[in-house]
Amino acid sequence: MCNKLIRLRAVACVCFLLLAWQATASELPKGLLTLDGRDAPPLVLNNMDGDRWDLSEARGHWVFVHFWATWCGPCRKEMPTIEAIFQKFKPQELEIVLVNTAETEDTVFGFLASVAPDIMPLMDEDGLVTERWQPRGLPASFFVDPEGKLRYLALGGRPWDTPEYLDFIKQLIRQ
Amino acid sequence: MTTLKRITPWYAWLWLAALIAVVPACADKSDDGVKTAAPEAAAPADPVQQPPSPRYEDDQVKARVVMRTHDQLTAFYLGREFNRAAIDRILETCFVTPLVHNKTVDVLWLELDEWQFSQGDKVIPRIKRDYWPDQWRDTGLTQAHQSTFGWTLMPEVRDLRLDEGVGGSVVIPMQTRPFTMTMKFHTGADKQGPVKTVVFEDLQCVTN
Repeated sequence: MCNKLIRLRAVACVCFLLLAWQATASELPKGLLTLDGRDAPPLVLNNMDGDRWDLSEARGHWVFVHFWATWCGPCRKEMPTIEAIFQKFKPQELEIVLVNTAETEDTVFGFLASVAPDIMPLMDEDGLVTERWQPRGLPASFFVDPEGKLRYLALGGRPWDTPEYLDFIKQLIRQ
Repeated sequence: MTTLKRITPWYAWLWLAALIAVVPACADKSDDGVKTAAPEAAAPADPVQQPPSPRYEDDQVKARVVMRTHDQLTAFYLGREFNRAAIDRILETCFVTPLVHNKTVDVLWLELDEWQFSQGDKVIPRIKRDYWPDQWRDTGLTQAHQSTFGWTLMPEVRDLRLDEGVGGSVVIPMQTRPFTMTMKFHTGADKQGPVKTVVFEDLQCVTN
């Protein structure tokens, strides 16, 4: 009898752990990593119009910093979904910042004009800013919190315009 | 600053409390019983797999190998406006482009130094990233192009998370005979899980 009860208790514990695991696993959308909240590296670049943009001046709201290149297949696939969230959220809620890695203006314009015409990308002309941020590859998207700390990293390209990711962003900006 | 917290749902706690409440705490009286209830450690997987083609997939890992022809490499780098001399340096070597996807392992360690290229007993040394700066200096490749080139290479080390994939080129000296690529992956955040090995045989450097 006692052995049966012990087994029952063990099964209960396993089920509890499974439930807890399921709950924790479902908190963040697929492919998002929680970062340690260290300060975001410096990000000061000019956009295609030659206007300077500085991350340290973007406090008080979340910033989506996205590294990409036109030659990267997943980047091309993901870009329309970034345009979608650009249209959906105000810059004072979530500022979308595209950082093109080491390509020319002609190349970038040729691609973005048809896919994300409203977003003015920053040009990391020599690629060194991208390297300082150490993304895990291209594309890579960082969520920088209103205090300038790195909070989340998206692994590879993500469908940002789907409910799972939209809900996540809404939850962020509500904080 | 509030962050998204990982919260165990209330119903899970309630369920556990209810079950513990109805089960008397007699497990302490029987160590054997508790041990019996513990899950057994999973047996390590077969360390060596032999895929019949340049694709491999099991329940943990998906891998594919693409061999780039000279035409493909030339088209890609010319399209990125690399100069001809730099492209010629690239074509002197053999680009192997694996794509690896971690399907179910919590952390799958990509560590290129754990991979081996071989022909029978002969080991083929990998051409590492430190080979390229001299080539680019000789050919006058700009910093922007060097950066682009760097992103097209496979990362040296990557803790591939669940459902994360990675692809990129691994470079070896040009080979005229078929060779074997043995990809060895440690698993687990602390690398203490079973080692996973995937072998691709009869790969060939292709020119055109």
